[in-house]
Amino acid sequence: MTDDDLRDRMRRADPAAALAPLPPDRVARLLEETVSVTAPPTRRRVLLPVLAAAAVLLLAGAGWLILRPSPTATNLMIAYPSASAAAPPRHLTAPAEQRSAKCRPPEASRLTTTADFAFAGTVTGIDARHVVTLSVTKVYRGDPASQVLVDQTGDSSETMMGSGRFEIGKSYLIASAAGTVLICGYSGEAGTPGLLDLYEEAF
Amino acid sequence: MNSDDRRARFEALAPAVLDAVRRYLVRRTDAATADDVLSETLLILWRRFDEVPAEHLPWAYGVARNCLANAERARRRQARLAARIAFLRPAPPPPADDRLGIAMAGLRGEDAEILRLWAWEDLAPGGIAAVLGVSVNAASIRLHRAKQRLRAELRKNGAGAGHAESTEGRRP
Repeated sequence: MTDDDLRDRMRRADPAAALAPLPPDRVARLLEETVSVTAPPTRRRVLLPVLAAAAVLLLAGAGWLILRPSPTATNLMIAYPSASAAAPPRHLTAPAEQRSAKCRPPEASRLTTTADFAFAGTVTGIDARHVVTLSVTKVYRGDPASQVLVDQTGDSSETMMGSGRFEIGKSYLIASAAGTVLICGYSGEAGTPGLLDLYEEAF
Repeated sequence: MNSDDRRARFEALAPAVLDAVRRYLVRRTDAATADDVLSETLLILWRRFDEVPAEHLPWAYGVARNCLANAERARRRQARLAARIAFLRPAPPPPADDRLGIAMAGLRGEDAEILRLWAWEDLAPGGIAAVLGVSVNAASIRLHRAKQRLRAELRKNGAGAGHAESTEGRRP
C-alpha cells in the first residue's frame, strides 16, 4: 500500500467529509461575537497581569490623591535659592508601574486643583540610583526653587509625556502633588505639544 | 495597524480558519465540545492576531489542539458536565471503515494523531511540526513510522493492499 493509497483510505473515513459548511449568518455571528465580546486585544498576554496591577495602582492612586496626607509628609527634594543646611531638599517621586495605564485627557482645571508644585526645568544629572537632578528655570506654582530631584521611572511609559523618561540636557515641565509627580499628561518633556499651553492655562 | 484594519484583516482570514478548525474539531470530539472549543480558538486567534504566522492553519490547529486538551481535561474532572453534553449531543459516529478504525485504535495516540493531521488536515511535515510544536525533522520521522505502523496494523487485521473501495465521498 503506497502512501497515497493509505491517505485515500483514511480520507474516505474522514468524519468531517460530509460536514456541511456553517451557514454564512452563523459565521458572521460567531465572528461578531468574537471581536465584540472580547476585551480589547493586547499585544502580549503577559500585559494582562500588568494591566490589572496598573488598574489597581491607578485606583489606589486616585484614592490617595483624595485622601492624601498633608504636604509635610512629602519626599519632594527641593533646594531653594537660599537653601541652607538646616533646610535639606526634599525628594520628588514618580509613580512607577503605570506603564500600561490609560489616562483621561489632561485638563487644565484638574491640574490647577491638584498640583501643589509645578515647574519647568532642565535635567543636569542622573545618578546611579536613578535620581534625576533638574535645574529649575521657572516655577509655576509653589515656593521658588533652584533644583529639584526626581526619581527616574521605567524605561518608557505613558507616565511622562514625550519620550517617557528623563534625559540629561532635556527640558521638562513637572507638576506634583504632595511630593509625587503628576502623570497622565500632566508632566513631561517641555516640547510635548500642548503641555506648555496646559501649564499656561492652569497656572 | 489600527483597530479597524486589524478587525478587517481578521474578518477576511477568519472564515477559512473557522471552517478548517471546525473540521479539525468534529474529527476529534463531540459536536458540543467542538462548538465550545471553536469559539475559544477564535477568541485566541483574535487576541493574538498580531502573532499569527503566514502559515496560519497549522498555528490555528495548534491552538485548537491545546484548547481541546484543556476542555477534555475539564470534562474528565466534571463528570456531570460530560453527562449533560452526552445527553444533548451524541458523539460522532465511528468511521465507516471498521478495519481502518480498528487499525487506528491499535496505534499509539500520537501516531494516530500524526496520521490524522497528514490525511485529514492534509498537512505536510512542516505543518504537522507546527501543530505539535516539534521540529520538522522529528515530524517527518514520526509520520514515516506512523504510516509503517498503520500498514502493519492493517496487515495484522487482514485488510492490506488488496483492499479496494470506491473513492466517492472523498474530501476535495
